[in-house]
Amino acid sequence: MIAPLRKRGKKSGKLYVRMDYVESMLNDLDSIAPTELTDRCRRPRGHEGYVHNECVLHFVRRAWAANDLALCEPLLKELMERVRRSLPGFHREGPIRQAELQINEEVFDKFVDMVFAERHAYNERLDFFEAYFREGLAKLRLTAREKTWAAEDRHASLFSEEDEGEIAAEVDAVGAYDPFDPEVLSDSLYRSRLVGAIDSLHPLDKRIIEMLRQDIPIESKEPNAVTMVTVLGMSEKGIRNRRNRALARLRRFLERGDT
Amino acid sequence: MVPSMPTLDDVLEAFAMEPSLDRNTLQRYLRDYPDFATALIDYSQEIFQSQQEADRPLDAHDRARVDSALARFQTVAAQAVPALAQMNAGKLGELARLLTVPHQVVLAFRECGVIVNSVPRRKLIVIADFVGASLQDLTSYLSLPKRSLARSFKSDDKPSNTEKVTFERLLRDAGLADGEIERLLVDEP
Repeated sequence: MIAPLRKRGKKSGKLYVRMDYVESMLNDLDSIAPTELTDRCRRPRGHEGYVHNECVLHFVRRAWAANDLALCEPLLKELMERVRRSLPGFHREGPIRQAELQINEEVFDKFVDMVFAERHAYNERLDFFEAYFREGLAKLRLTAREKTWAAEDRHASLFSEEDEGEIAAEVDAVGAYDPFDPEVLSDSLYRSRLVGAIDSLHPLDKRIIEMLRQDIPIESKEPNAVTMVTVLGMSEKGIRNRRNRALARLRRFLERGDT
Repeated sequence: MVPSMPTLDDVLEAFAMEPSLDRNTLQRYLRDYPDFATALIDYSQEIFQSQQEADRPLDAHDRARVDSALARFQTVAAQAVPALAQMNAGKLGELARLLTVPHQVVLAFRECGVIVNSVPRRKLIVIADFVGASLQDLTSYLSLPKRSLARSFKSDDKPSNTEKVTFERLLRDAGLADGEIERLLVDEP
């Protein structure tokens, strides 16, 4: 029997529920033999019978709670390998690469610590991962990233703008450039490069690009509209300038392979 | 009673659980929680990025990190029977005399080097009583892959690749005579 999650959403007060496809897969796998379960969980993403991360985590926690270490260990190994595979790879050199690699390690360590902590007591935070694994890892990345940014002199060491002159020459050519054009976004290699390109931006520029992706306008005549101006507390012109420079940097990275 | 204000974590958690993380959802949260605006935008961006990244192949560093974490797992798991996992030479000798087996046999138990279902149940009960663990905890501990626990408590050494062996094989390797082995394999009540 698949036990329900115990954590309640703090805002809604409702118990967490797994996605339907996760619940359905858990029920299908509930009573198969341990060796078969391990084999199933080892199938790579994209292969028939692939077991979702949320399900692998559920069976790790169940084996851990039952002290079934012989089952827990191979499943945990598989889960940890999946977490490693999902962490971004960074192929460039320099301080950004080092900072991002450090973020990866902090995310991995934090996740592993949460699983190990269940040895002593039920860890509600893992319920979030059983319901929303990807979002859980994204939250760990967010926390680790904020920590890294706070620890670094982000302007001087991480996000050097020494190419300002070169970028300025490219800003005028940005025009209607759209890095999120659905046509190019369908290419997995492009998507991966886009992630690296966005990561190379200054945090403020990343926010502007994210709001651009979400179609949030720079300004609006409607008094209650959410705009970049109201959210960031900057002038329309200042945001427009930063947006254009950020787009120029993205295009340079994506088209020429550098920053 | 005034309801407590949601914390940043509460808001991010609720945001992640929304059925769709599109423009309307982000705008609604930005409007409702202006104090958390930058964190919401950063989180929205992290989630978007995590959706775009394809799995990458594991490299040597990834494997080393997983192996290191697994070594920690074994250490954490061993905490169920710390008295056996951390048993010193004196206690090992005491247990060896109790079981009437050579010292190296109980050492193999400590290092999870024995195939647990090859051990007579009565012997397992004696060990569990001696170390103050439940039979289930002891069985789980002995089911872990063989490793040198003496080293694992001090470092991130990964488990050794050496195969586990049967209880009978342990006794033979310790040089016991056939008659003695036969006596020790009997599961006395």
